[in-house]
Amino acid sequence: MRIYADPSLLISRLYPGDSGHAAACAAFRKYARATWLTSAWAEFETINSLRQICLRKPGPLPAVAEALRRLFRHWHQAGPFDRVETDLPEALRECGQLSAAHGTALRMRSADVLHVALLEQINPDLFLTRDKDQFALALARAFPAELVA
Amino acid sequence: MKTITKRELSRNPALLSQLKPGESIAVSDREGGLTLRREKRIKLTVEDMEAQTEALQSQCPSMDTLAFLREGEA
Repeated sequence: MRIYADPSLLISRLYPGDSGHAAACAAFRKYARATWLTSAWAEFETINSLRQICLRKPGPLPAVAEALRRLFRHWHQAGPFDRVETDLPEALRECGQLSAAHGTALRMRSADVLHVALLEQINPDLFLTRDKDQFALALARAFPAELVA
Repeated sequence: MKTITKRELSRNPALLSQLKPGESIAVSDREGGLTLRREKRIKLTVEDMEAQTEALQSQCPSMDTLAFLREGEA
């Protein structure tokens, strides 16, 4: 099974202080045999977000964000994650189509839409997210999706 | 994924040694090309991964990351 998870889930899985960490770990146990696909965009957003949470008071020290970045990379080298190459210009065209079709009816944050657009290229068996808006958008595009709550 | 030609590969076979576990390289040729992939040697278990993140637990203040990262976004 091939799973694409968006950063809402990846951050929860990586950051043990997150309120959704236990649910994210449970999702990984549930799909322990799966290959977890990531894109360059998902990796960037995940790592950048781990750095951003250092801004919260109280938040983790920057060294913790760096440790989590290295851990995420290690999980790509020795764990279940595989980065797939994607065509970003093509994904942006898909974003435009998603916006035209659903932008007035569903909550769609610009940066998040790109993950749903990438599903068209990555074609995973399942899309996992902790974000109910992303879940609704994926379902609206008829992608198999699961909300990890 | 990086793409090289067969000629580049024959001149510099060490390119394959630089591949990290899980990485692939495409070799183009007249017959549609080849993809060479270095398989992962170690497969972390879910339990291994949980132990790795739990080791950082004491340095990670509690928060709802989804809510924090969504503040002010459009």
